[in-house]
Amino acid sequence: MNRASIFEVITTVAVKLKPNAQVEENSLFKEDLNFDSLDTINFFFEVEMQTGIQIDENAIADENLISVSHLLNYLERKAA
Amino acid sequence: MIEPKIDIFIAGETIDLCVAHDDDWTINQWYKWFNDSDVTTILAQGVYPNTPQKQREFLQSAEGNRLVLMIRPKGQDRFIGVVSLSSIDHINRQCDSAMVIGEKVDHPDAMYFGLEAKALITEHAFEKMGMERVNSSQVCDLIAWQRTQILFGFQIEGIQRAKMRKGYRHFDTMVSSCLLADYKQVLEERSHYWPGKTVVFKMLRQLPRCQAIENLMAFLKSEQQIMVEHRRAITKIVSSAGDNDE
Repeated sequence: MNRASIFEVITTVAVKLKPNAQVEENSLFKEDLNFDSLDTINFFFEVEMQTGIQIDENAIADENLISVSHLLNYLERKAA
Repeated sequence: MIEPKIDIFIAGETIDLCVAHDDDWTINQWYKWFNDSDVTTILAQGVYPNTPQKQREFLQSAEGNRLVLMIRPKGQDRFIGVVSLSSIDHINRQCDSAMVIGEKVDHPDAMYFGLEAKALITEHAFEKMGMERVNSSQVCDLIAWQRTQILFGFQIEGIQRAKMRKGYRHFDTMVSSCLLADYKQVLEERSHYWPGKTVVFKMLRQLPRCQAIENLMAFLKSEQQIMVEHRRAITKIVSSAGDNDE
């Protein structure tokens, strides 16, 4: 899966969760997309399911997955 | 500088539930949450300004009929929310649970704070207070939260139409409960009601994405409409029969 495809999945899932979300690469989950902590983890699981790329529990803290770009970079690395 | 007053009542893994004292340090954090429009979007609060005095009065009125505990992330000198049991009925052995997370927290364990707070107070209700039923209700929009309650034995019981009002908007609310039998069954399945964040993470991942709650909402609406049609038809029949009698 390439970066563009992953970004498309991220956008689709984010908009499904928050219909008014304006998703950009530099969007922060909490501040820009208005995710609470439960939204964020459900978002990660849905992205995981759609991309087939597992997000490790430790990665959420270690990789500082606080924004779309952080998540994109992480998933792109794992997919490679 | 006001000294933090942290009095742990129930110690958890990612959070502690602390005594709600009426000191300035506690009250000054607490009252502000209910002036935050992001927090009060779907709460009854946020219509009139909250003040430290009003918050103290609330705390004083809770004495004897409500258990209110402050949520503190482990190791931090601050509170991020409050969890409570109210309408505590020792005859019917049931109570209502509620929680407000007042602060958005940047912390790797933030996703567990609300869940663990709910688990700890529910456990306390059954293990220490002798409750046999813990009620819970949220607006139907909070579907993600309602799904996770299932992991702690809560069962959805129904939907109350237009139960909550904020301004000109009405919200349906979903009611659920955990019975003592549900609680004991969870313990049989995994021996610890709060099984640890690592296990909770794995369980959250396994939660079905099925549309159970959405299906229930659609089913209820459709069944309610059928009942309305029945009533109309019956009314017509009875009215016609009445006309014929005349």
